[in-house]
Amino acid sequence: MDHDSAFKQLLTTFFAEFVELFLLDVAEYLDPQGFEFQSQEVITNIQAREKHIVDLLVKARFRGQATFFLVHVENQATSKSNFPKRMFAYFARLHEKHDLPIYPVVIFSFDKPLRQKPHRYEVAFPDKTVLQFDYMVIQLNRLPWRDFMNKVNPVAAALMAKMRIEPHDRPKVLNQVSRMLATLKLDPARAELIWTFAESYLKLTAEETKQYQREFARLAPEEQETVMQLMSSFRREGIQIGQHQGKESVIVRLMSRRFGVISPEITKRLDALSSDQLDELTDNLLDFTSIADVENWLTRHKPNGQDASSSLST
Amino acid sequence: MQLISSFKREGIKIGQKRIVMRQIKKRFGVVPSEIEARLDALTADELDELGESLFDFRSITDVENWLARHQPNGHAAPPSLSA
Repeated sequence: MDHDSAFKQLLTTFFAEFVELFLLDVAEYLDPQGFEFQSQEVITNIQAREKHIVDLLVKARFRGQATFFLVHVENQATSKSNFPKRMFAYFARLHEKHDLPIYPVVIFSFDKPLRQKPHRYEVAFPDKTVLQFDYMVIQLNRLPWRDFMNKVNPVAAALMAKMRIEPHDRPKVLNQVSRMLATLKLDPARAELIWTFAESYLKLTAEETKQYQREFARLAPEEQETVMQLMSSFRREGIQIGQHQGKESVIVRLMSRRFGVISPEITKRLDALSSDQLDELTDNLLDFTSIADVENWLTRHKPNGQDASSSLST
Repeated sequence: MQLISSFKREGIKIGQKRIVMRQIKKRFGVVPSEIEARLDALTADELDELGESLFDFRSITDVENWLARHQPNGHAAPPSLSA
C-alpha cells in the first residue's frame, strides 16, 4: 500500500481518535457522532496544470447544534517550501465550493528537516496585512515519542514511530506499539494497519530486532501472553492478505505475458476472488488462448472471496 | 514510500510460491523437493519473474536451469567461463 492511501485509511478508520489525540480543542466542539467523510475532492491548479486530490475532508457537526464545518487534513511526507501557499489555495477552493468554515490541518511525516515548519500564509503590505491564514501543524519529527507512549490511542500507536526518537530507543518504540495494541483490543485488520505503520516507519535492523525481543522478554508474563496472542492474530491476517496479493501478482504476470496488458477491471475482479478461486484460475490459465477466456471464466465464477482491504472500509 | 508489514511480506511470498508450484505441477507433474527448497530462497521479484517465464518452459529441466541462473543469495550467478 502506498503511503498516501495508508494515511488516508488510518485517518478515516480512526478519525475520532485522531481528533482526540492532536486536536484537543476541536474535540470540545466536534460532535463525535456527527461527521462524514467527503468523497475524493480534486483541486485543479490551472496555472501549473496540476491536479491535487485532497487527502482528507470531513464534514463535522458542532456539538449540540445543527451547523457544520469541514476539517481538511493534508499529509506531507516531504518538506516543500511553497506549502503554506498551497494550503491556502486548497482552503480558498474548498471554502468557495462548500461554503462552510474550514479547519485546516497538516501532518508532516518527513524525518528532516527538524526545524519548525510555518503554520501561516501571509499577504502583507507595508501599511496593511491583508491576509493572515493560519493552519494547524502537526510536525511529527518535533514531537517527543515519550509524550505519547502512554496514550491508549491507535493513531498514537501508528505515528509514534515517526516522532522524535533517540536512536537507542527505536526498539523500545516498537515494543510500546505492541503493548498499546494489546491494550486497545482492535480487530486484527485494524491492528495490522497500525502495525504496518510502526514497522515500516521504524525499519529495525537485525541488531535492533534482537533488542526488541529482549525488551519484550522483560514484560510481565501475563502481558507477554496478551501481546503474543494479539501478534499471532494479526500475523495470520497479514499473511492471509499477503498471500492473496502474492498469488494475484504471479497470475497477473502470467496473464500479461500471454495476453498483453491486463485491464484494471480484470485486476479488480481478481481482488474479489477467494484464495482457492485464484488457485483454480491458475490451473486453467494454461488452456486459455485469449483474454476473453479469462473474462468468461471470471463471469462463470462468482467471487466468494473478500477484497483484501474490505474488512477495513468504513 | 510503500508501507508493508513483515507479515504481509511473508504472506506475499507464500502466495507467489503456491502459484508457481501449482503451475509447475500442472505442467510437469510432481515438483521435486530440491526445487521446492530453491523456491523458498528466491526474492518476491524473482518469484514473479519465474512465474511469468513458466509459459516458455518445456520441461522441468528449464525450471532447474532458470533456478541455477538465480542463485539463492539474490544475485544472478556469474556467467559461466566456458569459452
